[in-house]
Amino acid sequence: MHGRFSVPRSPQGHPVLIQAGDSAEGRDFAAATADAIFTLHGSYDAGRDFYADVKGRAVRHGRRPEDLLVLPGATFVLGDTDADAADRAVEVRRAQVGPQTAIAFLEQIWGRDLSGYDADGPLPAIDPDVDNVSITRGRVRHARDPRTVAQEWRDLAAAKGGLSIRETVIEATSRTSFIGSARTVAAELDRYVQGDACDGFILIPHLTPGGLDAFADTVVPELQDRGSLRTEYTGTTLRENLGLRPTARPATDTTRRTSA
Amino acid sequence: MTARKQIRLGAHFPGVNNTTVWSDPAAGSQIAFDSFAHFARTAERGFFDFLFLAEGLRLREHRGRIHDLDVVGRPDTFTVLAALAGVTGHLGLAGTINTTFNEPYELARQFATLDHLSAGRAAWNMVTSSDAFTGENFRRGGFLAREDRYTRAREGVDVCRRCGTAGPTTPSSPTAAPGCSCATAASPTCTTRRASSTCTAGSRCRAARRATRC
Ligand SMILES: Cc1cc2nc3c(=O)[nH]c(=O)nc-3n(C[C@H](O)[C@H](O)[C@H](O)COP(=O)(O)O)c2cc1C
Repeated sequence: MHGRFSVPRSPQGHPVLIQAGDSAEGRDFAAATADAIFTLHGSYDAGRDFYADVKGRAVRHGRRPEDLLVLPGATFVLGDTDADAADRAVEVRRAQVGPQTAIAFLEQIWGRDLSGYDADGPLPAIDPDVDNVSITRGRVRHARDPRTVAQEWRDLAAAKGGLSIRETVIEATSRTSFIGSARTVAAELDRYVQGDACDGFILIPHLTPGGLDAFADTVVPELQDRGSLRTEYTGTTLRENLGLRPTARPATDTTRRTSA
Repeated sequence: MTARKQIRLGAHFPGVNNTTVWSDPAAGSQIAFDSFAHFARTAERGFFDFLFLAEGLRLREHRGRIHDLDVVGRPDTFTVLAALAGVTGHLGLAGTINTTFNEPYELARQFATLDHLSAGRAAWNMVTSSDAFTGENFRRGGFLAREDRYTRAREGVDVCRRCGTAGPTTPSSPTAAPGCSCATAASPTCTTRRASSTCTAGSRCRAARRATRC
């Protein structure tokens, strides 16, 4: 490839770079290159481990820890009280994992047609077909042995007093979710950030397009009261708002000292 | 006292993942512009850093059929973000864009353009899927071995970075480039060497004082 670039320099020089990908190569690529890393390491403890890992990698690449932001994906359910939110969270999970979805999830692990199973009944007694892992295609796969996963699900179902297929899928596929009143959720989000489990979050509401409304109206003021969230945008670019250093001009760019 | 650590917030637009609830009476369109605009304005009202669009280049299939329980279509990221630039003023606009199936030079142009349109609010979530299943939607198919995915990603970013930062800090007019009508004096020259279909060499990009290639 050899050519001229046809667009004048843009305000940020180049976009803020985010990386999502969890392999060792992915983490190193992020540590060397990215401004932020989008991760699914959601719990407080897993977050702290991941945070230390990737910030350490960034330092080994000659960067400062604060040059790479750690942003886990996070879901949330709000309520007037913590109890109210907990009730709503159960409803949301049941709406996310209906009977058909539960069976589809199960089929992804088992690699078999399980359409004859009742989602409200027990997990299949047969083992996964490990040679048929591509029953679902196009989903980001987290390469784990399906037999291990199946055993974990069975253990989970047994430990919780005999969960149904649907209940097991709901439990097993739940990610970290911040559930509670606005005050509780704000305090918990802030605890993660101040405790270096992350630098912030990529929030994933469960409703489009209004799923962020209540968060903006109730949790945001709580975060502002805690002094952890801006009350106005101070930067002009995204890079500035994120507190990142300005983009460096490339080392080879020695011919131009002034702009035309 | 040291300043309190500030929480960074991204807002993932719901609609293309398996956690979006459609049975709720409040569930709306995942493709109408009103939905994107509503979501973006809410994020900006809440002082979020950026809006985030995920990407899937091929619809999921389950037992050979489109998996319509959790996927309901995938609009084009750059187009949506460009439109949102017009209805927001501070919110970052982050797009998930694959490094395997897109050309580095095109991406550099698209992101530079988005950055201009939004006055400095563009962000790129770089993803590297290289599987042949996704590749079937692209002319070159599954051309890249999985172990080369980050080599190619690195090249894409390198081109974007070098082309993007080598230009002038303020856009110059065409007349600033004497002798060449199709490039400004400030346009950088980008050189990237590739061995076959995988990228083995990094890219170089020089800022040319005068137009030498058009
Ligand atoms: C949190 C997270 C979100 C991702 N989102 C997307 C996405 O929206 N679209 C996509 O094509 N790949 C997505 N990916 C896939 C990765 O970017 C990457 O292509 C894949 O994980 C392979 O890289 P790895 O081996 O380093 O994990 C995501 C991965 C993670 C961890």
